[in-house]
Amino acid sequence: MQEQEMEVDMADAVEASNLLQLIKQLLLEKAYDGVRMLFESAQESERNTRLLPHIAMHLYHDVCSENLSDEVNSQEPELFDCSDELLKLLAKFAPLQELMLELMERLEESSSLNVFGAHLRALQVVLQRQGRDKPQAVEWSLQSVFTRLRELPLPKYLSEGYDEAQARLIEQNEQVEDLLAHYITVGLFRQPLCSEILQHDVRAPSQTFKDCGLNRRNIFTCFFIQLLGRPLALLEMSHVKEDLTRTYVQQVTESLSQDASQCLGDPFYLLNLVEQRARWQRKLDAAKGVYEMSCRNVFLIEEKLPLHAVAMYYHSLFVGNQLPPNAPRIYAPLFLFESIVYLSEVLLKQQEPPLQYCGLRLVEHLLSTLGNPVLSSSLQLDVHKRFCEALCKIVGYSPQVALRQLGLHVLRQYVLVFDDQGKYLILKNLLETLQHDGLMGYLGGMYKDLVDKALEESGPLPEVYSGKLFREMLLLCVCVLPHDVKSDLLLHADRLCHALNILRYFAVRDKKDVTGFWQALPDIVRRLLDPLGKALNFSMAHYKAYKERVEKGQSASDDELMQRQLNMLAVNITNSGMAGGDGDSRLPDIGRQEKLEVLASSITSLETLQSLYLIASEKLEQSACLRRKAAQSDS
Amino acid sequence: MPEENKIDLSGDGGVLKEILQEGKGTETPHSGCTVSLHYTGRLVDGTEFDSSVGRNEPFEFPLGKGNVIKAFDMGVATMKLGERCFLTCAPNYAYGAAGSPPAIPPDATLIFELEMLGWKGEDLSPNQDGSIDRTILEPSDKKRTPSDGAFVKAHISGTFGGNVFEDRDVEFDYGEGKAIGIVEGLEIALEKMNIGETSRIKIQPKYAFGAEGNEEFKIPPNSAVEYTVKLLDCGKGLEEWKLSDEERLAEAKAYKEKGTNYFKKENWALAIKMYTKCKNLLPNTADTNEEVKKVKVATHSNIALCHQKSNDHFEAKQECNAVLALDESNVKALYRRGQCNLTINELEDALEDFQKVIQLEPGNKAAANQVIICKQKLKESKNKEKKLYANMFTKLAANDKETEPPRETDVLSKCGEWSEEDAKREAELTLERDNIIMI
Repeated sequence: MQEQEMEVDMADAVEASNLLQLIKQLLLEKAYDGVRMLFESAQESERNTRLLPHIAMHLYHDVCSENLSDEVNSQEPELFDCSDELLKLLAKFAPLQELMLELMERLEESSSLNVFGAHLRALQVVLQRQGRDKPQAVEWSLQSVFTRLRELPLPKYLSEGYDEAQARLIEQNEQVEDLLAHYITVGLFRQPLCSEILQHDVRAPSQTFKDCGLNRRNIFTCFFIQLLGRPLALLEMSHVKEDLTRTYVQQVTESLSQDASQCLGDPFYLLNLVEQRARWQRKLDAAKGVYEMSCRNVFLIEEKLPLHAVAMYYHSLFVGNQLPPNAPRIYAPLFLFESIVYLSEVLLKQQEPPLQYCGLRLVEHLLSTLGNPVLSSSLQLDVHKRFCEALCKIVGYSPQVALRQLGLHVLRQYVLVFDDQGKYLILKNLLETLQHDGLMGYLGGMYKDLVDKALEESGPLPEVYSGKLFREMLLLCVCVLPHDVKSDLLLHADRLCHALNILRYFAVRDKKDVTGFWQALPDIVRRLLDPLGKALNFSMAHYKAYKERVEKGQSASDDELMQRQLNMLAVNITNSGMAGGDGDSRLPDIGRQEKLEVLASSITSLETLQSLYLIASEKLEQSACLRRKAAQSDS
Repeated sequence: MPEENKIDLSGDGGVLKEILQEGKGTETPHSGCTVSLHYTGRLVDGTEFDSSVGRNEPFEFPLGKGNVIKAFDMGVATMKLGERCFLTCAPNYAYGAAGSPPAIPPDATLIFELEMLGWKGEDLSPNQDGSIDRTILEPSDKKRTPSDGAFVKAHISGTFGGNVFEDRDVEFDYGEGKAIGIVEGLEIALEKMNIGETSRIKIQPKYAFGAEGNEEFKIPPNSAVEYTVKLLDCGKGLEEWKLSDEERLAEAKAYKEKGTNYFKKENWALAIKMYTKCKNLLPNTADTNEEVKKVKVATHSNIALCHQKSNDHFEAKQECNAVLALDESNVKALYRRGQCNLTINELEDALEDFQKVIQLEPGNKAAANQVIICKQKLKESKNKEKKLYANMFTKLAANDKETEPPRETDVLSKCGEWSEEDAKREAELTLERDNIIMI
């Protein structure tokens, strides 16, 4: 019996070897249809398919591996196609691991979409055969796919940021087009696998808790989410609100986030782990077997599930409106908000403006959905501080105009979403720690607006808008002349303008001293108005004299000051996105005419400040007078 | 539903529970536990707005952490295993005046049907392998937790086999608990506790007293222990990012001092930890700032010594390399590296190091002694090698005299080739082995 079996095996092996030779011969003769016939015709296919396991790897090495290249594709496309079909066919019979290793290597090194696609189709078959076994092997295969996508060349401007007009044309770029084509091919690759997972890899009724270990479903979930991160995320700046065009980027993103949501079951599940990941670092300790990859919960491992990609997944769910209709509705809004602040902070801290943009959009969306004010107790979480810092850095210093504008809008909405105490705490902390003059002026103005709104409402003023806390804030955001009389007024012009406007406002608005403004006024006069008056006179005299010297050609000794101002101007230009160079670099020496222009603009700024100063002083005087009269008539 | 069957959970009628099916036992889940259940939420008019049953998967969430609407946290905390109930939630315990458009209108009362499937403690272990398990006994609404370097004040009570083996108030800087006998598992757990919280922490041996156990506490080797901890207070950790270069240097020096204190107490692990913190805190100005460079050199050198003391000679060598990268004629580092090389049997490197020490300090007797030892060892090792080769050649010569083996197959044809079984086994091993880098 055994002998008989051996004889049959031997006969098959010989037959298989002949088949291999035949295929090679047919390919040499360019009889591609003949090769197809071998596996498609009713008479031949059954016998030949039975022989394939014997020669699958030989066929791979001798035929597919050699012919699935760009060179063959361009010179003999039919040979390429035939090899492609053979590869897909042999993938059903070849030894799993051996072929998988080959495919992984070829996928990572594939030089074009065609080569990538051919190998990906084969990998799909292999992974279907692999089923739920050996999840680690499945993970490595998927990593090879991702590695290829990650290493595709992309235009540099994607990482440096781009404006709305560029965003609209982004898909026209050849490299972007190629990347999206790769993503779409991966989409075709994952569809049957995803359906199979959803059908077969389900929780047993006896299993009370979700298995977060290394299994096929979790690996694919991580893969889908990973794909939403870089490089795809770099294209997300083109995501324009209420745009009717459905771009390829959107289509790819939507399909990935839908698959991820389906695999997760509860799309918010990962939010439960966000704090754990963003707030506490895992304590790695080789002696205890704690390595980056040793965690039994795959969703906690950065390499498997990068946090920026998780943030992009939620960006797609919320901003891209991809929440499945059956998503749980019992999560607390505050929990969602705090988790999104964690994620948004992760995005804001990334180098690439498109990711920062997504971070802003994400938090903007969540802020718009919050119905009730967030309690100030939430601010005990350190993440709020980190978020504010990252946000203010963007608002103050990002070279992208759109980012700065959106950032400022988000900052405003973010402050306003808290209860009164929360608003006060954020503004005060920011004013204490920020260095950006314009932003500080803006925040001071915001506090004024909040007090104004509170004054309009009936009932007593909340304690953060009156009395001691009001005075503290006022002294912090209004009465600040950083270097007393010697302050560089032009450098702090923004903040000083805001301060003077705030003074003028309270002088007019709060004649009854509900806020305690008039009690704080003597301090304000001592710390701000008196030194500012003197500083204004000094500066004005200085600049006018300087101008005179320039006009007479005697200005060499003042040139350092001029250079400083020009450098300031250069920073502003860099911020406005107009200059390509480094804002810190010194400008070349300029001529007399240019010097005069700069000086004229400085003098104009000082004059504006001076006129504001005079108006504020006048209003203060008038209101003080009215108050005195009112007090006299009362008495 | 008759009103009398409803239990008022909130005390103001805001959350009412009606049991449909009694659960098993008496236990209910504690705060912090991960709870698994099925739920269906309806509006008062019967409109279903959400259900885990529809998703075909139980719903999981950490209890009592505010992740879900208030009523849900409140109701689930009272449920026993297998219990089924209705929960009627007034708007202020659900979505309030704002609602959650479009499914939940403003000021909506919600009715949930719940079925408790089970719960488990919170796994705080870095590997999520259940080695540190927390149950919150008394939650806190504060959100501050200890961070690295922060001052921690807590009350701890450790039990083993039902007996209390320690019960005390502790105060320490987070990260240095080991110095006052805080087991590692407890310190890891404390990082995730809010001020005011009391928790029960079950700790497996590797994060408690390990394979040695603890004689004083009468804890045998490889024993799991249990602690009840109340975090009384904690400060804010060091905010490194806010420090100026001068502040960083000052802070680094403070950690160096701490490291030296632990070194004096022969607590090498903590000394290394503190020195490493010092090293990380130092500003990146070692090239231009002589003082920073000096501290950096001293820190690496001290870490090297600590590693030597704990017999980690390879790590010690790395630290010496770091010192020598900053100061190539540092005699101490050269001497220490020489010692490490000697211990790990890199004799020629060791000799080179000691000779360089003598070159720099001709009168260094210790180095001169080490040179003699090195030369002696090198000689011994060469002799050994000679003998070994001599033996090998003798054996080979003897073999040659025997008749040549029959040339059945070409040996080279099999070279590097696996049998099918070998290949399969190897591939499986490769694919399933963790932490393998595939090339």
